[in-house]
Amino acid sequence: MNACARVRKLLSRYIDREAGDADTAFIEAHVAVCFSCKKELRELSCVRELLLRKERRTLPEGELARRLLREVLRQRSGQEGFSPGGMGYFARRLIFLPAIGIALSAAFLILVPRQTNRYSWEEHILSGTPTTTAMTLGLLLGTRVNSTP
Amino acid sequence: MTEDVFYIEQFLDGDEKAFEALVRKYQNRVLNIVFSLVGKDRESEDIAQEAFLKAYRGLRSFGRRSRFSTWLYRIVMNTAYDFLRKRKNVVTEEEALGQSADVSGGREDVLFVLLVKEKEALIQKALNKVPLAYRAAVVLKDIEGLSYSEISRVLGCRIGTVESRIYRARQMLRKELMKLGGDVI
Repeated sequence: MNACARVRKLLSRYIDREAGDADTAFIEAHVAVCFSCKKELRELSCVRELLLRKERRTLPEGELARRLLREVLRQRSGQEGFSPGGMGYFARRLIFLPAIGIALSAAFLILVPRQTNRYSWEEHILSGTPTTTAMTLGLLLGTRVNSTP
Repeated sequence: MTEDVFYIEQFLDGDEKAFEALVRKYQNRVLNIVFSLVGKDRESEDIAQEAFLKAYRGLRSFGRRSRFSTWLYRIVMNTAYDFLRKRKNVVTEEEALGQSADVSGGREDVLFVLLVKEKEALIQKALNKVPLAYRAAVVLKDIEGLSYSEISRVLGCRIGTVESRIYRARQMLRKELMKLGGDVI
């Protein structure tokens, strides 16, 4: 193998700083006197530099995790039990919201009768007694828990 | 214990939230590898998501014979390959060399003007013309900054093969950039 062919073979390693000391010394001595290999080195280094400077894509923090969460849930709805170890973390996080809704509804049904078991909503308002949030919700939803004292 | 190993062990112990930490850590690295291979924003995001989904499903069978990043990048590469094969956007080495301008006849200064102007779209266009096996090697080196030995583990080939693929990829890129850059400069 002549000197130029040997340099070309080692050039990538040299450009990427992965060549050993002996190979580095050989390449540097050769390109100092060989125009063709020097040009090759210069141009391929330039290509490397262009790639290093290439604009990097970025997604907002946690964006892919959120998308993954949706995808896992979507797949789970069509293919029960695909995730390892049963329902996955991502799936659990998305069913969290409906669970909160169910819990709030249950709390409402338990609390409202206790506070309104003697009066109708109309009588309660006419009596001028302060109204709790749960009672207001009941009023808005048209609930009539216990109409007569 | 590395950060990745810590999260993997947490995940295997039942804390699936640990996987989210791995996604957060690698999301942009994976995205940039995929984008450099595929060249389309929206599709790159979908491929990155698909790769993480495969990793999520397969993490329990990950034998830890290699680093997590190596294992993840292998999944990323295979997912991107599958996508490009389906799209039938595969350029052979012969095609790449045949389409390219002759270096000896090209303008040498074109590369340096591109370097100053940083013509993003042209660089990506040139990358798309490089055959996939070569593109993958040079992307893992210059975009992700892996060492030759890490690339050889991700691509499942010898270090010597990685070395020659990177060399060939840069030669092809040079030709393509001279051709594309010469048209616009």
